[in-house]
Amino acid sequence: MPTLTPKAFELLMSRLDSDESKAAEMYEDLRLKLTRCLTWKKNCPESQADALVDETFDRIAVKLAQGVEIENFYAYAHKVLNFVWLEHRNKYKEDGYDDETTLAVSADAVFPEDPDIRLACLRSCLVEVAKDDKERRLILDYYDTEEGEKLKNRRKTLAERLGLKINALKVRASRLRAKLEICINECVRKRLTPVTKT
Amino acid sequence: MTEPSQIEEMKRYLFHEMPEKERETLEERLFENSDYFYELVELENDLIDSYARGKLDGKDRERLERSLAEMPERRAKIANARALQTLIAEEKNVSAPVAASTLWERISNFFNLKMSALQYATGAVAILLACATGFLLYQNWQERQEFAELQNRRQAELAEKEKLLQEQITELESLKRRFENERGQNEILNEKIEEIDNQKQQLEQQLKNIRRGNNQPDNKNTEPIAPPTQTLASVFLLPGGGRGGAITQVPIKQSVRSINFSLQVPPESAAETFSVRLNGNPVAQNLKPRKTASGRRILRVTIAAQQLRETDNTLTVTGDDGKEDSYLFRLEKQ
Repeated sequence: MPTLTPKAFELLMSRLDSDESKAAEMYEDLRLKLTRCLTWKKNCPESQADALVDETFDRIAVKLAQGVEIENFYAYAHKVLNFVWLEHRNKYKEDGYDDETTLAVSADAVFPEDPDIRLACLRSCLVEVAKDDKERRLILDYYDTEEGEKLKNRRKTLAERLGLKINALKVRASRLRAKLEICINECVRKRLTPVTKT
Repeated sequence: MTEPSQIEEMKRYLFHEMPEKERETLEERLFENSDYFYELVELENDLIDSYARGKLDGKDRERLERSLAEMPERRAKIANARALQTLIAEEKNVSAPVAASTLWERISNFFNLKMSALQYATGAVAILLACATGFLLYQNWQERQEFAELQNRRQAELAEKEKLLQEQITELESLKRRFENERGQNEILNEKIEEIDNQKQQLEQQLKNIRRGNNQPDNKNTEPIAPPTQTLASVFLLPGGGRGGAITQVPIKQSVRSINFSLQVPPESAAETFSVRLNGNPVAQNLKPRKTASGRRILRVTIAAQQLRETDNTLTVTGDDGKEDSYLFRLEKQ
């Protein structure tokens, strides 16, 4: 499966916005949407979703290079994603796998569990993902749901304390959590996979 | 704000209870409306957090559990939620929040009353007390901040230590492989020592015979013996590359004409006979491995040095069960 090449990525970013930081913001937003959209489908593990999203971006970049005018970027990306997903499913079925096989593989093999390792991974990933202590606290406070008071009120107070609108806080927390989870899953996978003999 | 009917629609989407057509329409909305998308992300996170804490109500719990069959990776999300809650609880224990003071409320209530001189005096004392308490609270807050910072630094250090330990484990595993390799080589060296001992005994016997004059050696044997030139080298190889993933280096002298390879058969191999190819060319067939004292199975094959490439070489061993193993090495002529 092809990965997003630096050239394709550059073209894509320039089309998203001429301002680099805005383009980066839009890219992050679109990537999260595409990935979530896939993982919310049946039997699409996050590891596969990542590669399929790269493929989606690749195809969009090819179209941009061909001079295709894209009016609504998000809607277009969604359409391309659906094509990529359908192709992937068909290929999977052609290779002799069915949904049940995928389930068996995903449920047993893809999800090794060790709570201590996961907690250790969360700790190291928090350091990696959060750019400073403020962001670290943001995740911990936003998802602290143990208190008796209503979650909504708690988050509203947190937004006020941070000088953010509640929606902006929601977006920041969601993005940070998504990054954190990718990092944790990768870390757990690495630590639980035995070192291959050479 | 999201209506209850909208939340129910989102739940039907997340729990896979929605017909495909309706799903597509909802997905389109996700891409068009970012607020709606993040609302959905948050709903999924909150449902999973509640489930992880055992606080998701009966119906939603059943729906989420049913969805796990179609979205097995959601289990990882649940496990992550549990880890996050454990960490939050741990952090809270470290810096337990100071109970919200109601002192200010009490003071303002006090001033709302009709005041007597005594009340004013008491008020002044209360203000003084409030200032002192405020100062103490500030000091306490500052200490807690410092403590939290210290805690964060400690956690970062712990994460770093964990990373280091993981690296050390990998290094130890690599060392273990190296020692296993060397143990195999030692076994071969021991065999060679035995051979040399036998040769030495034979030569000593010949020398005794010469001294006794019982058995006159021919002229060739009486000539001074030139120092031996190494024409045969022995190499022990494990399947794959060498130590820690690097290709095995095989140092040999220029004088070496042939190399005796000892190839350790992977322990899991069930094959009894093997064929060997060097860089794709067949060199031996129907080879039977020999068992060492430690139970390892070793295949022996001798190859002329001129057949080997100056760079990387691959010996491919195919068992009678059809399974193949490769042994990579690189010659280093000295």
